[in-house]
Amino acid sequence: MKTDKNDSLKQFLSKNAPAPAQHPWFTANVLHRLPDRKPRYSWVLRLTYALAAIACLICWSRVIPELASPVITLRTVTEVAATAAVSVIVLSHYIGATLRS
Amino acid sequence: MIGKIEEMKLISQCVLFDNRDAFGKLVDAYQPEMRRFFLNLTLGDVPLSEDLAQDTFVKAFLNIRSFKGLARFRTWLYKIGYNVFYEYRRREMPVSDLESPPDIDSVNTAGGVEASLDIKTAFATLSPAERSVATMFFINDLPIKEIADATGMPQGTVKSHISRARTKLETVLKDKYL
Repeated sequence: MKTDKNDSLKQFLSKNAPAPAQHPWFTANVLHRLPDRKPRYSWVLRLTYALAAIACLICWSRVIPELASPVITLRTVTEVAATAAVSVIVLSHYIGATLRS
Repeated sequence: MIGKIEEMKLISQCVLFDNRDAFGKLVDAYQPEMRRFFLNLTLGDVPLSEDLAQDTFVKAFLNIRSFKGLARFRTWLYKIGYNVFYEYRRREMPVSDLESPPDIDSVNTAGGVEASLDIKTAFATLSPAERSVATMFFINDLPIKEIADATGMPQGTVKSHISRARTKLETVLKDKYL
């Protein structure tokens, strides 16, 4: 492909074509434009919330049939209260983390 | 210039751990080349070329998971840079300002200011596609296969552009320099 002609033109252009001056802040400027870092262990947090949600659902599935029985004991009330409290805590943590991110 | 193994290590660090220092090392390695590419593509517009070069690296970071490692990272970077330039052209006025001289303080004109101006004049006679290919081939010294991969053109088309560009550049530069 006309190598000799390309070589001489290439030599001339690579030597004489303008090159940018040194820019010590170029890399810093690029890094500054990158999006904020995601939390390092975000997948661990998501997995934890998922497991907590599953645990809450299992607890509710055990507690709700007890509420339907004609006799409600102190134990039933305690279980409902505990399950409700844990559900509220998990939900509020998840919503808070989502809003922060 | 960093070796391929070192390059792959840095890319893995970026992909797996969002390591910004590793990406900074990649930027350091390739920024002179990319900045020179855009400086000549934009006919010496220093602020524009710096913006386009930064855009290229930012896009590279955002899409780094899509880099498959089949081609060199440099080729992939040129592909992004080529697309960045053409997106810019679609949005803005075409680059054709022959009247403004290069910003001498921001440009390394080791070969002389006059030669730089003549090269700018010569490159202004090329079509955008010819200018892109000619810059990659004659100034950034990319092989034809890499240019074809970066631009998405067949190798035959790249060779045609190089041939036409060479003819046009020689018309302007031959008597004085070649």
